[in-house]
Amino acid sequence: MGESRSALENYRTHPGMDGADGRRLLKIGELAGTSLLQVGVYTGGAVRVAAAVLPLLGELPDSSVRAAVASGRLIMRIAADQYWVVGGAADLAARLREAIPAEAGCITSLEGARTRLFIEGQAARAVLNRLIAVDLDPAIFPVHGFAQTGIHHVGGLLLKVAEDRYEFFALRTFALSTWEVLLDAARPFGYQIALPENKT
Amino acid sequence: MLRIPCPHCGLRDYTEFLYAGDATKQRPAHGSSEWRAWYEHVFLFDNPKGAHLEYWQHVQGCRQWLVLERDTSTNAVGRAWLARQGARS
Repeated sequence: MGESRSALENYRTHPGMDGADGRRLLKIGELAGTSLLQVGVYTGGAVRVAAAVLPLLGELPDSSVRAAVASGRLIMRIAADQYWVVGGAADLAARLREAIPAEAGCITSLEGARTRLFIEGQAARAVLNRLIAVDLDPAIFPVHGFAQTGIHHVGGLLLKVAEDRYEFFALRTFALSTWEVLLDAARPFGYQIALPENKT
Repeated sequence: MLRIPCPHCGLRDYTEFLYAGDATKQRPAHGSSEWRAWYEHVFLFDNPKGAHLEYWQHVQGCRQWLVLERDTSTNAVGRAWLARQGARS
């Protein structure tokens, strides 16, 4: 397997930027090295896939707006018949492939297809409100809430991991563009860069 | 602002969606060689005023194809459901 390289590798030495008042209210960066799997369910295969993954993942969530969190993993129902599994043991993909009947569903590794960005700080919500058309009021978008949406006309998945911290799973091929748009929106608040941050 | 009630993701801004055409048009039978039927299906469009059914795809969300009730004269949006359930549900 080829070496995994960040789409933002050339930005590691970015100095960050002070905000309008001279402070840096945000930390923006990338999380690398995290497992990201997509579980796809074929028509008529829902019961068999749910039974197959039960010992490995627990019950698949019904919610399409709130991630299920268990054993250090997040599971998100991203479409009617698709789930994302974030985190977990290194051999999880192989075990899921072995467990799921080929005619009922499939597993796709997306680590190389997405760049996992994060933005953290008291101004994080204000920055994201400038970029996406999703209501981030904590009463509506709580911790572990998620939404597939777009930044600058490019799709991605927004996940709230703490009160002042959000992650955005950007398409790798558009990661640099998304990154630049994010930094541009954060300029008034000031930011420091954290690239890359390893998380397993 | 036009907001569309995606059956999977909930109420979302229309900028996340792609308009995909008239959901009331009847597609010619698969394998049909009636060139006039295909010509009318592909190239000729009505321009209805009032309540209408349309296909939309939630391209920046769940990628699902939807049928949406929309009034073309007021932009009032009604129900939406998955296109796989049929153009009339």
